[in-house]
Amino acid sequence: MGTAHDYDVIWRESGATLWRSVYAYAGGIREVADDAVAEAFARAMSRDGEVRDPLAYLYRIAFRIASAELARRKREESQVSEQAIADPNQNGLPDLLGALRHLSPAQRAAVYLHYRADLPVREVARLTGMSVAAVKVHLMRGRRRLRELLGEEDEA
Amino acid sequence: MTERWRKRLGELDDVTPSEDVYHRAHDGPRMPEEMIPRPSTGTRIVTGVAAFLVFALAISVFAIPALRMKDGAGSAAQVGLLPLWPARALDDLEALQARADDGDEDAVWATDPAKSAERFGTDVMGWEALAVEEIVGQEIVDEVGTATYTETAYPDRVGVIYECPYNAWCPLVASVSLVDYPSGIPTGGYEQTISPPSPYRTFSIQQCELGCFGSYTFVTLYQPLEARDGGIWAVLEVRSPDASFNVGTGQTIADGFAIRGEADVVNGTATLGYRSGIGACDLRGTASGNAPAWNDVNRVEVDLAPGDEMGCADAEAGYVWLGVGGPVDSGEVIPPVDPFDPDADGHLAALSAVPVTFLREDLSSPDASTATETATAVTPPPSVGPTPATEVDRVAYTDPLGWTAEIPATWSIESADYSDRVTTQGAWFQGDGLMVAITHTEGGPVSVPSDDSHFPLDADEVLVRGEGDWFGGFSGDGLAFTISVTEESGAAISPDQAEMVTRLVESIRFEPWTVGETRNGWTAIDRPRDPHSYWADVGGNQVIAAWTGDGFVIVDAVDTCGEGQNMTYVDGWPVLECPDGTTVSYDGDGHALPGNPPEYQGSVDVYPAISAHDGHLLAQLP
Repeated sequence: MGTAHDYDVIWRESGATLWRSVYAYAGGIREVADDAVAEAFARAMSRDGEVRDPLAYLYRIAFRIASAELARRKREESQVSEQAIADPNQNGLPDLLGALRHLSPAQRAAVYLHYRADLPVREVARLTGMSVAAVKVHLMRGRRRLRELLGEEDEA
Repeated sequence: MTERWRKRLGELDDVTPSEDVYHRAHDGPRMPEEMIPRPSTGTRIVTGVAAFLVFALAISVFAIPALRMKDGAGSAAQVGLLPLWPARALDDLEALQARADDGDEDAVWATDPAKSAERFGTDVMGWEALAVEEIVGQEIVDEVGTATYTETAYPDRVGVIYECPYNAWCPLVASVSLVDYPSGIPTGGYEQTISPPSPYRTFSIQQCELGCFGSYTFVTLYQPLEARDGGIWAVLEVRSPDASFNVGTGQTIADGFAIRGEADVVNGTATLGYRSGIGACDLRGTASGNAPAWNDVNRVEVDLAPGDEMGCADAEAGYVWLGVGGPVDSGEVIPPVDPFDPDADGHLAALSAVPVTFLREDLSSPDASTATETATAVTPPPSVGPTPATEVDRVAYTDPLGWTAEIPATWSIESADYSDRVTTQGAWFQGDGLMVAITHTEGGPVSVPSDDSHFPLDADEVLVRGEGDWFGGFSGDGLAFTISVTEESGAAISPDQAEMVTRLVESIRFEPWTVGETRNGWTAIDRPRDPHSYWADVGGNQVIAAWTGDGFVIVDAVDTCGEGQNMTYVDGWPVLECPDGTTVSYDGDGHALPGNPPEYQGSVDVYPAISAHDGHLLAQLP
């Protein structure tokens, strides 16, 4: 059995970044991010002794739950885009989420974690369970797409 | 220089989790277990750190010359490498070729390597939908690495980053990325200057059943019968970063050898297996597992003992494979079966497979009669013979590629310098029961430049140690080298032998560079003490050595604007000031910066740059 982990600390230190990365992954669907992150923490806490790397476990489980939910919604042809746009109220965020939805879920997650959470590629790979290769794929494509959609250079 | 979208990502910081998220977690899991794929925190099945791609390097030493199929090779005992798919036996390949020549639609696809790769994905991997992209050429693409691209779209998108070719040292796993066509396609065809046109064609295939989110599997094909238009293509090897083992393409495997595997089992079962022989001689072994610790299961000992009963020859062609299967439609998770078995009907998430030669006796010496053509390929040129060194018991070896090493004086030294489908250069050192090969290979699947290793090498880090075979690699003067160490009797390498190998490997050196010097297509340029983008002179051309955060890229020669121009910096970035007051510069992607005059609005090429072993920056320009 492994060491017990303090999930209160993990939540305080990393919960928001985890949640936002899943939120980005889900294209701004709050419900998916909330459910996935809550379930990931629940699973991690319930099998704490088996979890060697809790943060990686949380990310992987959360992304997989979100992925399964997105796939389910896709199959059911739910109105994903409307839900996603309807959620945020912050200035500009609908535009950003609209652009992010032109990326694949994995691209969104990789872009957020690397370019916003400042995680190195290898760390993104470790946390998401993707290979370094796959992360680079998603960063490459995501960056190019966002550059097209949101602009390349500051005007100043 | 900051891109707008990067700042826009900060808007996500204004969004916060719902208040009850963490409280809900304390209520325990709500979703049924089967809805959640098992995490892979404990499912990386390991023998050593990423040994596999290193073991694959063995191809550069032993395998390539054996790839050419010869008349008569279709007899019961087929020695040497046979393709994995769509047929293995020469007779079957010839029959497929004949059908293709006759226009049989069920065979014509085999004359198109891309269609063959796609068909491999559907027929062998069991994927209903997939993306197929070819790996050709290469281009530095800012901070994410080295990209490859082609202008031949198949089916609608091209370009792949492939950081771990099998003739390069790969410390972790293959790294792959993609560029969408046509964005980012630079003009010119410089990729052909980095790697000569290859007789191999490598494609990445990716499952796309719920979007193309799966891992990439690389399928390398060649024409086993005849290299010509209309000739059939066959799969030489398959590699997935998520499924690897300690055997390389073309490796000779003796009876009793332990094949060890590593797989990233996300939600399914991995099976490691081998198959020796064709037809009546059909010896197989497998082991499957999906437990977090696969240590007792992820090995298969090759058992060729029943070979006599089955009419097997002492040497038989075969293959090693490791497949990762996911749940079938019913949700049941079943171990994958041999994907090259005609009756296989599985669904694989990942697969690696390589052709090998199985030996029922100790015939692994390179000059043994059954070791195919390899043994005939060595003729040491006069310039590479041993020369006396300062130590009595050692000689200094100087390789034509510029590296030196100290070799025990009693050992023989042979130049490994031969060409077949690829060109191999280097040397074989033999003595005290060991054979050490240090080689560089050109002409296989495209290679990607990497920084030189640090010398002296640390043998413990460089070599991956198997039972009787050690493999490793390093980079020097911009080239990738492979080290292969074989105990000729097949026994485990003894401590004394290990000491000899360590000393040999740690004696490898390269000459220091001087600014402006060119070797192996690389030109040395000065570099600043602290990394930043700067103007550099490469052979009289002014280029921008652009710092990406992880390394440099070379932004191609900027057209000068005539006498009186001034190479300067604006906000730390290299800018060319023209006498008329205009400024010219480009970003790290080679894109014109705002403010460039109209004649400088186009993009310029971007080329690789690496760090040499002595700290110089090496630039590769056409």
